[in-house]
Amino acid sequence: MGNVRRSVALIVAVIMMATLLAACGGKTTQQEPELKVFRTYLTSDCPILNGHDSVESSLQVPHDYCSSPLYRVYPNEDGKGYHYIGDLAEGMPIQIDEYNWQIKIRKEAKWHNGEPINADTIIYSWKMLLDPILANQMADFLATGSITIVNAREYQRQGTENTVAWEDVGIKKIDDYTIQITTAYPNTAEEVCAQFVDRSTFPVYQPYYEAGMNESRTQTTYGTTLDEWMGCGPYFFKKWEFGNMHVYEKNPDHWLADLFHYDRVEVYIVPDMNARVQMWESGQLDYFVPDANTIDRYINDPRMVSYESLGVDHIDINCKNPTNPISGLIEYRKAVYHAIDRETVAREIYGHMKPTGTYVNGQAGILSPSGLTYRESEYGKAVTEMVNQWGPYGYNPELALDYMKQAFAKAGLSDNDVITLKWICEGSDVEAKATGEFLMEEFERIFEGRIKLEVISTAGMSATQFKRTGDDKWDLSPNQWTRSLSRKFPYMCFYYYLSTYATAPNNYFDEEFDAQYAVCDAPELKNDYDRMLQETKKLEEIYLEKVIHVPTVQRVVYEMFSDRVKLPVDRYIPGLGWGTIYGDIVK
Amino acid sequence: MLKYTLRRWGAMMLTMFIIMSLSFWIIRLMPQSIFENPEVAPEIQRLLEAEMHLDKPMWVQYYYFLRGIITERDFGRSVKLRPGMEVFKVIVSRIKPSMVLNFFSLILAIPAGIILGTIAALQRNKWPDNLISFLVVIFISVPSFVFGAVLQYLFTFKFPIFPTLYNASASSFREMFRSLTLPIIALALGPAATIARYLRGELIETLNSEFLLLARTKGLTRTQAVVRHAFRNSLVPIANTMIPMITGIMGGSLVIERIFAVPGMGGQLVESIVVGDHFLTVALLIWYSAISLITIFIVDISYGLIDPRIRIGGEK
Amino acid sequence: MIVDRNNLPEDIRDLPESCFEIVGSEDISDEPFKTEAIGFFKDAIYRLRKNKLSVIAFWLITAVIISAIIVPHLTGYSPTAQNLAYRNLPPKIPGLEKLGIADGTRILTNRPKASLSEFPEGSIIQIVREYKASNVDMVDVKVDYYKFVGVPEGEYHWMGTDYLGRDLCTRLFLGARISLLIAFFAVVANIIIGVVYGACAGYYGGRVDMILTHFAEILDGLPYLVVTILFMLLFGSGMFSIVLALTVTGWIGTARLVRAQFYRFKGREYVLAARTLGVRDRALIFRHILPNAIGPVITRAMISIPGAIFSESFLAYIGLGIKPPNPSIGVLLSDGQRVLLQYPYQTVFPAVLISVLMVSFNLFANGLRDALDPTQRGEI
Repeated sequence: MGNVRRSVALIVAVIMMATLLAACGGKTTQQEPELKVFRTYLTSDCPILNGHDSVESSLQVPHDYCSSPLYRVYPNEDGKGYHYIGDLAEGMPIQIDEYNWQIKIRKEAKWHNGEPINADTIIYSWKMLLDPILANQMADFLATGSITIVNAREYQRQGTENTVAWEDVGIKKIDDYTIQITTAYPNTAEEVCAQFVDRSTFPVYQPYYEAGMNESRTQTTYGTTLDEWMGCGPYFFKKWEFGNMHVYEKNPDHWLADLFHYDRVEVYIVPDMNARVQMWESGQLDYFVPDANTIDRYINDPRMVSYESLGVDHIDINCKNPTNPISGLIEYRKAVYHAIDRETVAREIYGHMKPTGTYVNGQAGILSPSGLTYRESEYGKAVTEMVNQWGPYGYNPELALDYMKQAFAKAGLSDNDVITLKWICEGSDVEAKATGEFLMEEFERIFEGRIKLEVISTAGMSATQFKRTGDDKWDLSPNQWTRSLSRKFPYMCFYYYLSTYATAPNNYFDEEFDAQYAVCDAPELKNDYDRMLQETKKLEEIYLEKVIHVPTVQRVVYEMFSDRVKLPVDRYIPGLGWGTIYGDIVK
Repeated sequence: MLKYTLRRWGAMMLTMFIIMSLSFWIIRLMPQSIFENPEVAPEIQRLLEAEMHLDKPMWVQYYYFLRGIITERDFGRSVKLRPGMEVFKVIVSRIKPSMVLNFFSLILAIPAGIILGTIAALQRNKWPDNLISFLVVIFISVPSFVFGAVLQYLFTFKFPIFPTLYNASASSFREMFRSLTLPIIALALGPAATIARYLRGELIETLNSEFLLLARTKGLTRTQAVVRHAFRNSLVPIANTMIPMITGIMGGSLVIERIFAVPGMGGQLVESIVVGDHFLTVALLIWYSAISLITIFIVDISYGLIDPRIRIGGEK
Repeated sequence: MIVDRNNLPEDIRDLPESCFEIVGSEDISDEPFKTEAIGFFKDAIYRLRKNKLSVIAFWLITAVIISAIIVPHLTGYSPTAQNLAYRNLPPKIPGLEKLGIADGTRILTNRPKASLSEFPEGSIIQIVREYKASNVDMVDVKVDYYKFVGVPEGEYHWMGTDYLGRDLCTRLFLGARISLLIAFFAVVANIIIGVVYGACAGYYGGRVDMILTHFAEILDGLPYLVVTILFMLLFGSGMFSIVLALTVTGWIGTARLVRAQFYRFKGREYVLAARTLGVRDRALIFRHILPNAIGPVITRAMISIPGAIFSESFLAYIGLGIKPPNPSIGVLLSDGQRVLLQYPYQTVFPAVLISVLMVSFNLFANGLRDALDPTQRGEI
């Protein structure tokens, strides 16, 4: 027994010593002062590095640094705009005729292991991306985006039927360093470049891609670890400690090496907000995005920059709930629309966001030829004005009560009846939960006790999954789906609410709305921006009249950069952002 | 003893098998589908499912599941969290930080708990006992997510002694250990307090028993009597409280790992259930059960050593 | 004693009867006990009372329970009434505010110096720090936050307000009520199941023990988080499913403990004696052996109450807490942790309350355990 005691004491002593050593030892680590290190963070790690099959936007970060696309967006000299530069591509795309474009591949392009990159590499990557059996989730980004490649979508969606051959797809090899793209519509060179900026179109390394393929060729393990992934970009992917950090180091041999100024990039994975605040405050991060709880602390900080994002938060309304007698009624939807005090929700709960009673986002149309956003145009302003006539951003308690009374009458309910609405939100979605709690009191007051709101956590499932478990499980669900193409074509933000969209988050569809969307979507409008805006106005009016869903908050992105980072642009540029990747570290 | 051990081992394997089967049936019959991507053509969906034998009846799937595990450690592939990666690899990649973290917090927690508990029992109702009891209560009662956050705030921000996050890419073990110090302490506080609390109670009870009086009359000092006789007797119930503790601590701590960005096992189980990564969920369940069973096994065997009267299956 | 008369000395051999007289009373019986025999529980309560800490703890628990019942009605605020203009107010307590604690002040960081003139009159107390950031003069300024957001004079929130402007004091005690209820139901269920199960396994031993122990092992092998999430999926989040989830695997520890105690005591001589006298199994289990296990079981139960509150707070942290707008200590703690750096008081008050509960339950359990220990009977 004495031995046991002694060994216990020994262990304790050892631990204490180790802790002490560890605590004191750290101060001796030497700094390398010359290195320019940019330190940023992700809130969760990339599940995989293969850009083909993961919809996680976090993948864009390692791809931008450690891999090379055909084209990159690069800030203009004056810092007020951007243009495209060839990365793997040599110069801009060459127009052959109205539908055909040729892209030259750089002769010096090579992988990080020294093997050359040529037309075959690109063709292989795209063929795999569009492979009908691999069924990659990101395939659409190559098939249809700012340009539509002939037969690409048909090829990808054919399954095992073999109706479309690879030869029919508008992607051809001309010679070892030239590929030719055939588009479905006439396009500009910029539009062609824009298609190849996304992470899905970056090249993949054939030997690893094939080695990771399973027998039936339905899945590959490419990019699950650093050993099964190959980069070709201006930085080497040095370390990938999953769930902890990424380390990128400058590749001096890269053909565009001169454009990149950081010697080293460290990406921390920090899921906890408090930890992020502490790291930012103590200068361990160069980039930081405060959330609704922390925004108050930084709102007047001169380093804070902000812009309206693509996201408009809205509330989906279930119109097919069998347990809710008013769920199918237009009056009910209108009542909900008018019962939301958007100013309070946006300012207090979301933290300095913008209230909105309309759905087309603030960035919609910003990449159009004239750069005029829909919201700034006379058409968009007219709709905003219409909404404000009801009340500030559509909020009008009397009108809401009136509609609700009508709905009750229509459903044959008396004024003493009480209907319980189920507000579902993901447990981690703090703002949605708080909004629900806020509306709980508001609805009680506005509808004079007719409506009771019940806030239900989806218990681990995503809201979309939860909705699929049954129409009787939910009535209202806060949501936010964005579509980046709306930057160019404003009406496209309505895309997910068409009856033709397979995984629509809502179950209310309207023929008139579908028809008007089709009008906006007509090819002849693509080149007539003014008419497009005009038709978008009609679409938004139908949307408001039918209350497809209820818009609430226009998201505003708040970001901060530390003083030691010098950015290449002086304001946020849609499509480019801040050009962080081309920034520099200054003393 | 050998026979007893073998019998317990056999029983453990049987239990393991039942848990494996249970996990399979519970998780696979849950409402979420494995591949939900409506944009994928149905025949591709079928192809994907055929690849994982999902097109066959559940019993056949169950057969493949067992065969895979037994013959080639094949638990299937992750579908959502690390798409395409073998589940076995996913778990292996996550075990190391969890192990380091949990191993050290255990070897910190157990001796600390034992020492504190013994002191408290010997100095019963005097100030050291009261002080220890007070600390113990604080450590048990404040949730780890508050503790973790407060420790992080105090020792990485107010007084920057330790790094804010776990440093997986540290050049030396010492450097990595330094970044793990706070999570280790945060994790160890609760278990240490629990052990101290139980040990104190048990020791006090034993101190009143006759055999201890005998030991004292034989001329042993108080400390000798406590360490040689009372202590051993008190270990039995303590071992009981340590089972869930070890399971909990080995399974990783969701909260602490999240706060200090340790890519361990803690968050995996919740995440995999949340996103519906069924193969990973089942494998993780098996992993957790295995830890828990092995712990129970060891505790049982050591029971046999500490106190032979408590072997399972003893007659009444 | 019989003495042979002839052996006595001559002079005292023939003394007459009258020379003798009876010393003491005639009937030599003992006086009957005037006090009654002290029963087990009476003795326990007596000994419990001797333990001052336990008594204090008992009153603390009572105080918390009473506050949980009445405080939400005394504060003058409804636990769900919102006022978004007054969100995240710091604590302000009448009386204490003059001492500089809980005076409703807050330090606002990162404010441009120029904006100070726009602050409401009299709200600025002191400029804490002046510095330059990106060539703009910045200050950290201490303000009377109640004046800053325009709360009328005389309105107090003792523990401040939360993210929807609800009074935290009201919510904390309402939360304590809900948490205590959850914990109480969960622990009672756990103890009942655990004791019966453990007693059966421990007493009967053999095959029964084998089967029961393995069943418990299988259940215990499934992590409770999974069980909990499955329950939440089935029953939806709410008080009932939380209690259920805490019960499903929660009783196993108690069962193990009771089983071990049975193995320890069932071989003792007094049990053997009782059995020889023909005492039935049930009586043996519940009257003769179980009281020995009562001490540890009660300690466990007392620890489990705050433990259950603890588990509930963990569920709240991962978003599986009770349904809003009702608070529980766990919900408040996890909401508070999110803003720990900005508004630490939102974490401190629930943490203090849960600690007080824990300390009291533990100290009380200690006393109770000593009091219920049969081997210490009669000791003071």
